[in-house]
Amino acid sequence: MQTSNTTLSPSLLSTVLLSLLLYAHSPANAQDVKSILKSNCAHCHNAEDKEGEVDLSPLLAAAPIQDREQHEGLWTRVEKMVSAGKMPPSDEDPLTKQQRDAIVNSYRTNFILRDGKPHIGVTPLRRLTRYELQNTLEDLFAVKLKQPYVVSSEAAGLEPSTIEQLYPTEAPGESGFDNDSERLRQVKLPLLKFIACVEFALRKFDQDPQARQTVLGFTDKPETITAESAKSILNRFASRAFRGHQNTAEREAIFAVWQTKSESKSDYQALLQAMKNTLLSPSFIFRMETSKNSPAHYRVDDHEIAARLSYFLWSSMPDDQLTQAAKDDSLQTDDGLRAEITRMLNSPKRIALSENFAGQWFGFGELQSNKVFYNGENWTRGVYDELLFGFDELIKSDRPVLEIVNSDWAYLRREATRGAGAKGHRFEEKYADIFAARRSRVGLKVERFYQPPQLYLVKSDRVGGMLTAAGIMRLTSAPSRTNPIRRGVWLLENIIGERMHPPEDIPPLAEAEKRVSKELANSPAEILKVHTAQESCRVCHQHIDPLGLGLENFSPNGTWRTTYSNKAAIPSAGTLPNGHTFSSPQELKQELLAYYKEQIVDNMIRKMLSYAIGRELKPFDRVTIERIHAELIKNDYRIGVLIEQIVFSDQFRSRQDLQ
Amino acid sequence: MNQSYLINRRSFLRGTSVALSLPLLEIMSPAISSAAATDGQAPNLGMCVLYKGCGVNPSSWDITGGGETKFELSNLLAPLQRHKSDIAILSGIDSDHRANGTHTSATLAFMTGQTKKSNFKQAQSFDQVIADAIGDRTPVKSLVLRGDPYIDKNDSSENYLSYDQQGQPLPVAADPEVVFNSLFRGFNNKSYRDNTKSILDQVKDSYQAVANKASLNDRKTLEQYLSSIRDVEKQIDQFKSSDDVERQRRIAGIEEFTAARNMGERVKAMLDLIAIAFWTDTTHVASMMMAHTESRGIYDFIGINEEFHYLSHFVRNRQVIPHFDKINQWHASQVAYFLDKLKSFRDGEGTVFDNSMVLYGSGLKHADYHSVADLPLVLSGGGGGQFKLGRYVRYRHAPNGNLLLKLMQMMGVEQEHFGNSDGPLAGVTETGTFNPAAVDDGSWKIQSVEANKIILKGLLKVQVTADDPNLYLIQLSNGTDVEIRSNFGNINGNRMDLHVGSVMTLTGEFKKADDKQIITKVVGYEVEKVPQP
Repeated sequence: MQTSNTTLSPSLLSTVLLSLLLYAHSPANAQDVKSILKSNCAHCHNAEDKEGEVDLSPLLAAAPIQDREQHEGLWTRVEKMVSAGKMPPSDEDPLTKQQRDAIVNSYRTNFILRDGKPHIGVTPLRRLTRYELQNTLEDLFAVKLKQPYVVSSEAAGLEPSTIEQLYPTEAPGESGFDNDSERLRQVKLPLLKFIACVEFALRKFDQDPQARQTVLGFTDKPETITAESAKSILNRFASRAFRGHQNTAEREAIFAVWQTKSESKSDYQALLQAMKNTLLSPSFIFRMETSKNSPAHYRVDDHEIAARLSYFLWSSMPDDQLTQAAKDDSLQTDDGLRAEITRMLNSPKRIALSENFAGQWFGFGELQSNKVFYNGENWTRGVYDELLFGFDELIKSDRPVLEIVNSDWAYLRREATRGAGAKGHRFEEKYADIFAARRSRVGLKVERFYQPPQLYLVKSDRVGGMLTAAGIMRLTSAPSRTNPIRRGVWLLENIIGERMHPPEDIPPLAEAEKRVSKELANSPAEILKVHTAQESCRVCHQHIDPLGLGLENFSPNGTWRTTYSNKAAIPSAGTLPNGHTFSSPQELKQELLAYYKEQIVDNMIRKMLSYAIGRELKPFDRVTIERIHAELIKNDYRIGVLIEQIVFSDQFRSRQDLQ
Repeated sequence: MNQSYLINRRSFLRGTSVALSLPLLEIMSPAISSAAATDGQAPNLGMCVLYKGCGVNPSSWDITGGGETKFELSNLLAPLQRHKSDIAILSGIDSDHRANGTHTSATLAFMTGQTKKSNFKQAQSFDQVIADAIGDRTPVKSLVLRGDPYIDKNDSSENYLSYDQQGQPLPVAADPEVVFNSLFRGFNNKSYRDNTKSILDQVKDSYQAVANKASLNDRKTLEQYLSSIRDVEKQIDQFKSSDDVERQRRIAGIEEFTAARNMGERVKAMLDLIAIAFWTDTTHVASMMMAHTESRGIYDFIGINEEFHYLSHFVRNRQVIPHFDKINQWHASQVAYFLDKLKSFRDGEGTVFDNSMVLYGSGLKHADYHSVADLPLVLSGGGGGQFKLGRYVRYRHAPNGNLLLKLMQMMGVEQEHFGNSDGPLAGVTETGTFNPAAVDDGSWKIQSVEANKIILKGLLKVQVTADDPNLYLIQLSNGTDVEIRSNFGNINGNRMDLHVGSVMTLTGEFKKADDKQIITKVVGYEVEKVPQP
């Protein structure tokens, strides 16, 4: 690992190991740590000077309990800066090793561990998101609600389904994902729209004899049904809708609805009505779990772990086989879970991880929900699928997560293969499981119009990894020009895991621009070079700019180019903050993996973990992250191991009711 | 269908012609009578906020010269020319100054009159205070809409304008067709209403069973569900109470929607919906985000192919100003369309316009400096005959809470304070000058000149006519102006734009040109307090 004064890349693991060791030897003393801050940091970070907008005075005065309740964010920042060696700055006296260790150690005792042990925090109640609701209704009623992959000759876009039109989309929460339980708690359930979705699914169901056969056991719409069979149908339906939860009172109430309604309607119509009532119970829209009102964490029961697993991997309810596994008690062991994970990742439903998780993580889901960026361009579908299929390939073939950054294979649209050194290595038939089912044929004309991306082995500067896929290059550009800053920030935030803050006071860029001679003014690289020459900009932009500029070979549409429109050559070379140089996007990717590898892996774990458990990560989650990181190192960074280790974590498998 | 309007002309005509041919029987339909107060309540006014993010280019927005009633509309207001006598342009109203410099807080403060409370909790927005007070008179308490598809993922609070009493953001409806159906179909049907009611009764029972078993923490989250149920029940009751003949007749005159294909059509459709919702007394409170505050939206339907937010940073990129202005003009033209629409629906003796209050504006003034002083604001609608329109009203640093409070009070909210307010805004329902001009007491002059340092006192102005959008001036008692020609970072860092119109004592570095001092760098300043009238 390279180090420099201003590096963004702390040697995370060594810090971690070190602090673990230290924890064993020297119990941290909060008072000692405060005196270190007082003598070494407070002369700049005080209430008056607030250097870098950081004022440590509240920490110095606070009692330990206040530290935990009120100052977690500030302590986290202190620990991060100190452990990374970024503070004190190079022109101040450095901390001694002992002092630094004391801060890291105290943070670990107070914020990561509780009473010397790892813990998981209070488990939040999860509400179904729109994506999960649609998937669940599809599975529950055995109907298709999603928009089929129809490519209309007009737009070749990604059209929203009826439910996507009816139900508002959730804005992502602090975790970066729309399944963030805190955000969902804040925004009221749009109940009327929810009812409209349920009614729509019921209408679809009512029109589909095959679905009735699957769910009710008959294809017709009988006038009369015996009370006994109505009860058994409704019990089974409620059990599936409530994901195995047994609530006798609720079931009786649902059956009572059938009884009342069947007096005035046909018995079949009464069934539909009772099913509608079932889905309006909070047990459906919320993923209820049994509570022991315990401040210590404990393993959740069989049906609950089944539900957690299916919503993580499929964004939907458990299927019959998973429910059976829950009943057989086989989900309480690592092996039992592993077997189900393998089975589930072999199912077409795993596409949810690509569509929902990766779609939100990389932001390419926006190609679906916000077509503004692709207005009028008929290859939206294709660039979206390159990313979708690409991420799915990682899961399907259990590839290393680092291949997100760079790989010798790629899914490409036919037009993207030209000059890409792509060797015809087509596996598309293997994809029949996922994509064929959703690719409806609308006449020969349309089939000719769209050919899905296919898998190629590639050896080229232009392709490989998801970072430089056309969709990402497009989303990080303005409509008619690239935006190297946006690309650089995108990489830092989404792949490397830095949280970038826009500058408060933008320094005089205008003046800098004036100094750029006329001939050079057309090259973003030259303009940015002047601007990064200023110390105030350089702090951040030395990290941002080389990444963005290194991708200038990709046009706003993601196509390859070697000159700008004014014929000026595109400089493909650059220098990372550690002094390493690269001369092409391909080398940039390799340098990324060399320089930022630990951060990239750490970020991937964090993203997937917070998606899986539906909340923003807290300091105490670090123990789990470190453990998963160690497992990944041992297992070639395979994504299957990442998924498995997340499922095995206490955060995923256990529950804590009280603080 | 090629017709780009969501409500096609035919249905619009049908709606109005019916209303024209049949005189309203107001005695039979009190719920949709005109602004006349019923049983001591405040009049049935409709209040609507049309928000556009990203601020403006001040020199294109500001009105130069003229007086309260004699003035020329500026470039960005020109599309409102045909309504000139029916609008009041309000200048000199400031948002919470702590919101200065950021998109998030500026958005948040626009309808709350204050900045963030915390990441998780905000202050209630004024439209929701109104909705809480009068929402039970209409089937739908309030409409919360957006026309811009962009959602900011890094900072969620940029995506909302309306917050409920608990400070939680309200879900924002983005699809006109869905809004249309929820307003004018569904619960307007009695048997559907009854059926839903009986389901909810049963669901409440099972809610109790579920909640009893849940952990304390989960129970808190579940309460949200119960409150959603209560909202719907209330709405059902309200639809029931407004089952009157006239409302049903008006609704029957509205035809189905056709799908909106781009942002332009969507905004227009939402405006149609608000107008019809007011006309049919379906709701009296609405807000719409026409443009997101950091919008990556592209207005290709008017020939602009750059992102709106990108265009809003124009100081260092002056060639984009015409494009930026064109989008802002388009927004004004939509407001003009909306006013047309309100005027086209007959209501009692007059039109829906007479009984409406429309506030159009942005939470930012200077788009590039993100300043929250002198917000771009236009007030329209008749305000039940109370608004004094056709005016250009100038204030000096009046808090936007005052404006919001004034509108709240007119809507029947009994409240004396809101956000940053220090009283209801004068000058909306009465004429006169509300701009206690900065008093030139003869002390506006250069106080000292040493080496390259200058200290001077005077009135800070911004050049609004020249091509240079970054030229600030200090006006002295002797009538001359000292130019401030500093760079973007210096102006931005000193938040100069926040204090335009204030008297300040400024310290700066200067150079001499043509025997005049030109300030090249602002070192610091002190602003004289504005006496409030």
